Amino acid sequence: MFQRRRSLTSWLWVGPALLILAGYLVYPVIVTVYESLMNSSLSRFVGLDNYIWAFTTESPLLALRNNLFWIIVGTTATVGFGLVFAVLADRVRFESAAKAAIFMPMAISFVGAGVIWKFMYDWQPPGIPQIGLLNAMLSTIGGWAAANHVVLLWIGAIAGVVALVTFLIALVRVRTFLLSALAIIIFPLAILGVGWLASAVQAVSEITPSDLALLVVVIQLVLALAAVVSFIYAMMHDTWGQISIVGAVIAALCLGLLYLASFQPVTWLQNETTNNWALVAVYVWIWTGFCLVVLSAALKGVDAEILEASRVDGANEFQVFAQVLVPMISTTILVVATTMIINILKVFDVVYVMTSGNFNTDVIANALYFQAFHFEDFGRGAALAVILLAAVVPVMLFNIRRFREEEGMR
Amino acid sequence: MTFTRGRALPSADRLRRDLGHLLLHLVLIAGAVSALFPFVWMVLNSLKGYTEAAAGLDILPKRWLFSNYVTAWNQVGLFPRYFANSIFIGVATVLGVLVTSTLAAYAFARMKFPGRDALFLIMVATMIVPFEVTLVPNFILMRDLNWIDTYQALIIPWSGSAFSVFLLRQFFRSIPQDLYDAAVLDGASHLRFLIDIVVPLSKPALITSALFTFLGSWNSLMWPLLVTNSPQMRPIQVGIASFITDAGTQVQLLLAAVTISVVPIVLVYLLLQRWFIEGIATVGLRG
Repeated sequence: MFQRRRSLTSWLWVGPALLILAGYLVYPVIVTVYESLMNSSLSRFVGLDNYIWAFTTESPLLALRNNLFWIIVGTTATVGFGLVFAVLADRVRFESAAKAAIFMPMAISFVGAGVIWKFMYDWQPPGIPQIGLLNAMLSTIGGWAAANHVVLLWIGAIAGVVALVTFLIALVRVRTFLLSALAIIIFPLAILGVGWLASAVQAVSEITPSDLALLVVVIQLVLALAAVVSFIYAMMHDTWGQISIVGAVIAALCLGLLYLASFQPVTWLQNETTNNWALVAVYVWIWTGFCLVVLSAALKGVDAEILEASRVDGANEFQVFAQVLVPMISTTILVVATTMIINILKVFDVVYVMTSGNFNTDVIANALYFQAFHFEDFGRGAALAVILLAAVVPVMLFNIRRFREEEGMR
Repeated sequence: MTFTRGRALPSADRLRRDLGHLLLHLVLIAGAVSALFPFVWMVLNSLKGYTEAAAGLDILPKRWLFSNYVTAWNQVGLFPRYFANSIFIGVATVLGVLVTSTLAAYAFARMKFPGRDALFLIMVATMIVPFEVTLVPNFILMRDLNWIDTYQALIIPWSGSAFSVFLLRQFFRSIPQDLYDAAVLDGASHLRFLIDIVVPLSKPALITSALFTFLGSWNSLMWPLLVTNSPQMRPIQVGIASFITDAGTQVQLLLAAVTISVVPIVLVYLLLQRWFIEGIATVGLRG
């Protein structure tokens, strides 16, 4: 009797929370599954038709593809930047200020961010002053580069020659340079090659010049990044290598500036090569701070003596980072990454405010919203919701398992 | 920090170290500046005149028109109403979440009842279900209840939070059992113990959960977009989003409105930064 009264009290305590969660979360999830098998007005059972529609029609497939793109690029960028900034901030005196600054965008809503970035990405026809910051900046730099292209060419050429010569000297001195040797010879050639290939393709195909130009920029950026990484690797070994790097950076800068000399304003949000990147960038701007804060908290838990010991053993900073620090906080990195995947999976506001899913930027949550509430097809909306749910289930199981392990350890 | 040993470094090493430090600071400063720049740009442009903001060439306004804020407050739809709506909805949701979550978390942490652990596990599982999954049935439910365009539609579905229950339960469990035993000896009931001992001790967790709830409520868009029709009922984000389409050309007013909408969050954030960051770290670590 006493026992039963006690458990009744407990139920009263958990009751309100459970009732709300059951009513607005658990019950709707079950109903959604059921509704996904119904027609647009939920009046007739249609079996798997809505799923067949979702996996065979171009527009929902595009949303699925875009979501995948979002997850890959968004998660990598937020976690990557967060990790880098967390490690760097750990070593400076103004750590908390830097962290607070990078965290600040978390305060803004996606609506507010959308408003700001819409102007950042604004486009005006060439010749008219650019309002959009990105286009204005690139046009200004491009105009300056065009006016000074002779100087830039000379500086670039000299820096390139210096880089090459010092690099060859370094190559003779240090054998581990072999790797970066390949990099430094291949990358500039590749960058030039991509440009050449692009103009060749353009001559024979129907690709619009602006699309092609953007593709070239992206590829060249990736190559430049790879080159920078190998340069940094080289820097760790030799003074000549360092001079070589500085020269190469200057040469690359000149090359980039010369490239911008022919810059035409880009419609960042309409152009289908750039718009998904542009949208993800807004998301990354907001969420990098979150990853930074969590990872930074994990870094504080790493024993400084272990790091110091590996430094004494002769590991350089990069090795300490990659071979000691990252493995030690790998659990946190995994958790942050799964949190970001879940968050990005349901991305809606950024897309809704900035493009409404037009110009091939649709994502599942936005497609769901439009299917259900603009086209009034509740069945299809529900099917998209179930697909979203299915994507979350593995993470859900992972969370439960981790939780049970944690509880078990007590 | 890296080179704490007092030995003299060869000059090449010193050069390398200084270059490394320079690079480190440059990257960090670049990150901080690019995080803050859009805010600065927003505030500066919200102070420009209409033609100047639409042309957007100079960084600084020619004349600093603080009156834009008054105009935005008065002319961006029913801005004061949006603002008040959001404050009301946010505070009510926070109160709801705190009450329901504290009670449930306490029961999960301290009481024994059949099915407790299974229930809690389900709770952990639902924590990451995207609310979009529940959108269609919830909307239909609101429609059937005649709750469209009411405050309860904006508040009640959000007054229970699996995340808050989880966070608080973990926190409550860390409070020593001895305290409870002593309180019981003094004749205290569960409720007394909760109010007098547990709640004051759990301030960081309670503040974290309140902050997250408020932030989520203040910044939410999709749900209020669905369940509000009349301008009087709109919370701030919906108000701003509709102003974008209503008057896309009034750049400076739009930016002033967004700035006003960010102010409460930034204030709260700066005041309670310590808990906020601690809380975020907990969320991340717990998943």
